[in-house]
Amino acid sequence: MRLSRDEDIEVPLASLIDIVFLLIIFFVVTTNLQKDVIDRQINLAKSYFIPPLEEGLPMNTVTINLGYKPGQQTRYVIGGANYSLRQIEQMLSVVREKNGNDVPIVIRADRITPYREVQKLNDAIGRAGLYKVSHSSEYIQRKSE
Amino acid sequence: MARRLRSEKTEVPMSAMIDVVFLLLVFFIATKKPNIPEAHVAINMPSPNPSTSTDIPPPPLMEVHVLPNGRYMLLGRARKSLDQFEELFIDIALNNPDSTVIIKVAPDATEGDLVDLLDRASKANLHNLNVMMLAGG
Repeated sequence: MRLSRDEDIEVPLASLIDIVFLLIIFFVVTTNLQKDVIDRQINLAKSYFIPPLEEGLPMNTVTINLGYKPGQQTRYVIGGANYSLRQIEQMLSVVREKNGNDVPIVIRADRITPYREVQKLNDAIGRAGLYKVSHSSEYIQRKSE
Repeated sequence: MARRLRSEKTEVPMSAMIDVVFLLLVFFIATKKPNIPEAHVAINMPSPNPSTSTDIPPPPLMEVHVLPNGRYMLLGRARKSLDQFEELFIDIALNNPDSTVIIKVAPDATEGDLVDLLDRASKANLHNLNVMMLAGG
């Protein structure tokens, strides 16, 4: 059926704005969540065979970012804030008391970090009584797949 | 100032609001960084209280040293490449998939050197990976 010329065609603005607001809320929330856990300045080592995470990490996972630049002090970052190794040990001890000693720890270390710096963090984790440690890497999909 | 009549409608300036909202949307889409897929490999930490019991026979062990500049050694013999380690790992995993690999990392070796080796062990389906620092390295 053809519309007559004097009929107005109106775009449903109210529902359009609803959708756009939902999109904005989504972007704001996801941006903040990622900022809290992941330090974007860290260049992870690349891996090709370690299977990538398909499901999210367990809720109680503690992610420790280890930023290293030659000539600068090593940064240990949790939730976007810098901590000393002593503070991390104290925090992890509290975590162990509350949630047990099988709390997963993820170390996100810069690929150029000398292992002695990683070992300092390992020692702090061990002193806090935690043992479930994994190292994070950037998964690169091979072209043949 | 004259009071407004009840019958007058208060209209929200929709077109201006839509402009602002679209600008916000464009900003968030433009600044959103793509998610980098991450992979995690679990390692066994040295126990703070080593067991003194000798009742349980020790599992088959293999010791690999990670040295600076991407060099790797197996039982004191220099290995040239990661590909050779990969072949070795696959052989070991075929014989006994529960084999334990002890990886000793030199203090000056990098996280990248370690992850490269863990990556090859993961390809061979070896999952008992003990990582520690090489003493006096």
